[in-house]
Amino acid sequence: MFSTRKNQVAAHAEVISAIDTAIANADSWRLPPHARASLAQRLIELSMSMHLRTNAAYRDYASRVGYNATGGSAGDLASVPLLPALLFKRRTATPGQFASRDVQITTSSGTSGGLSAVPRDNLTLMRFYSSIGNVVLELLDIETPNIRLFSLVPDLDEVTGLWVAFVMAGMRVFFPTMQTYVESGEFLRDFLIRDLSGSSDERVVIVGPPGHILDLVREIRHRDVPLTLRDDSFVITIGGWKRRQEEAVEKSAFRSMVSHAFGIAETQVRDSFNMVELNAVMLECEHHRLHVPPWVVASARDPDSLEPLPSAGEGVLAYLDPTPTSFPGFILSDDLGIVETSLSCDCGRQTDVVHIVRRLKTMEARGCALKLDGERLR
Amino acid sequence: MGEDANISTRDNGLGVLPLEIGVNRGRLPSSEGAEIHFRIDTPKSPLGRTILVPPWGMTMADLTIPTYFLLRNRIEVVRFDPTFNLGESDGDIEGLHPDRAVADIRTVVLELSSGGTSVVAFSLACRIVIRALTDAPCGTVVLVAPVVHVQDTLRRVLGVDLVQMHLRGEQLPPRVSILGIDVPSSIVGALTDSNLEGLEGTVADARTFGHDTHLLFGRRDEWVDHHEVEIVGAALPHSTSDGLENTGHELFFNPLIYGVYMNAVGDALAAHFGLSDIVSPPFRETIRYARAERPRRRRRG
Repeated sequence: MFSTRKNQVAAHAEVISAIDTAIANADSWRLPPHARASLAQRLIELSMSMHLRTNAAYRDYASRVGYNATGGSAGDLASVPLLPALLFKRRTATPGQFASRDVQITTSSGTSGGLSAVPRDNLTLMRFYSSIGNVVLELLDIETPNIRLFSLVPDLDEVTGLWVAFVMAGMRVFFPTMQTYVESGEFLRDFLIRDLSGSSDERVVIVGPPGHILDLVREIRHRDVPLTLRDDSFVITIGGWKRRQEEAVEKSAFRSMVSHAFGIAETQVRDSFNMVELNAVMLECEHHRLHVPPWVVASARDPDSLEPLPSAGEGVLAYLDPTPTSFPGFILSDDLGIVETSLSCDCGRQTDVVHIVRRLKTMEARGCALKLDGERLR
Repeated sequence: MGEDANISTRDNGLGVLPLEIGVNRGRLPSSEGAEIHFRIDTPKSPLGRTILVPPWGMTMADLTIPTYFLLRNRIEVVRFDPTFNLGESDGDIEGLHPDRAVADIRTVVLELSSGGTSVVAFSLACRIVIRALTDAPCGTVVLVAPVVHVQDTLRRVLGVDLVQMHLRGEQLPPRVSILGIDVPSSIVGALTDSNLEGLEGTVADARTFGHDTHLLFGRRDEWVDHHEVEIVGAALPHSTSDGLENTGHELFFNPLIYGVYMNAVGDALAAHFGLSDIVSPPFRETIRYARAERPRRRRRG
């Protein structure tokens, strides 16, 4: 049986890494710009070192593009070899090429130029959800599971592997009362309105694509009985308009419509950004700026040279995310956008802020990818 | 007892659960006659039973990560919600009182422990457990991220020392929001009346706490002074204390930190249950369990 060790203080063998500590620590958001840059630099170097050591394909690629692994100054982040998002869409560059462990294959919706497949191992997944926890605490001030979460995203058994469905399935671990309002591909709008009508005393969070939210707003307007959610409730859009791009409503007009329909302030209507190749989520603050988490470095790259542009320059967005272990999180996206560096936001945070301008056309994305690794992608 | 069910092991888009789990839900009368709701999750051929005590702001439904961790290590898990709190049990949180929490934990352990049942409590619940289980019949007790000085932790969380204000006779606002949960501020007076607010009271209770006790605390915990945890550890007659490096108080929405704590819980219970290898289930399995324990509510067809 158990033998007691009175008053013995022993440091436990489990010591979590610097990356995990940064994700867990809410204070990371309040670091001054130079300290935040220094933290991100250190974490990306740690991640880079791990991938170069364990991932032969990435090591070869880095070598081919002339990356000097012995660098170490802050300026070197510009030279970190980026993987074009296009690479994850290609059968020839299968996810297994960049993975060496037991992984969950997570996929994009495939609405714009093919299906991306990204391998996530256990640590990568755990870091992803921990990073969401950090972002949700920081930007939504949600500290306990004591909310009602309504998901407008299909359940995973209907869309196996779809990243956004996987993300929401994981949310059920933290918010076990979460309900899903998409069944057999159909958005159960009327059931949702019924359930929301009985939730005026609770803090509600509705998460779904803007198209479904728009459907909801139209139906509430049609019934001419606006809902009155508790004032600390949120409506959060994820995933963009996708196939319903032609119906897209300008952002501020969309917020106004949602605000009136649900009886909440426009500050409570927030957009979010994630892509299957990125192991972090960006969430808008109350001033509707997408804040980059402190452990991620975002940059806009010149479409011709792929060199980082100065703050607020428009270019192809790239992300250096130190959290994935089953694939390098150094991604050249398919999005055109702007990064404002160390922006002092009206919300009080001073972080990098991303503005997504538009999705690149397939040929544009391919052109950028070829500049990175023509040999592999041609 | 009643409402027996089994958790489906079928593939629900995340693969097949690697173990069979039976679920039994039931209710117990509290010392005041209110109903305490509980559930017992039982793996095949369990090695023993553990009672989980939820932290402030969480209910038995929110203990998915520790529950699945223990099930995966063949330990049966009892979860319950205290009365007059959040969750399924009787009573509105307007009736929140620490003495009720003490009595409920004691009731659950007296009724549902079977000899060597262990108890794992989290955060604020640890302080209540040290009071409630002094001479209750249970085995090893594991206190995770233990709050041992309630006044100090409340001050760190709220940014204001409500206990000190109350003791000085100052008027408190009628209500206080603690981690987003709105409660009457009379809870502050109830804590002091029950001598549950200070470190001295915890140390006094600890001296008479007869169980093998493991204190697992985070060395980066901003809500708990780990030196005070060690003081309580020194007062407990049979205790070990493990300080987890780079670990804070994140028991919600951080599977990394939760995982570190649960691995330490596994180590703490290993001797008690005769565990030779601790299984740390991949998070994908925990997601799968979370979905399986609450099947979708089909609305159509």
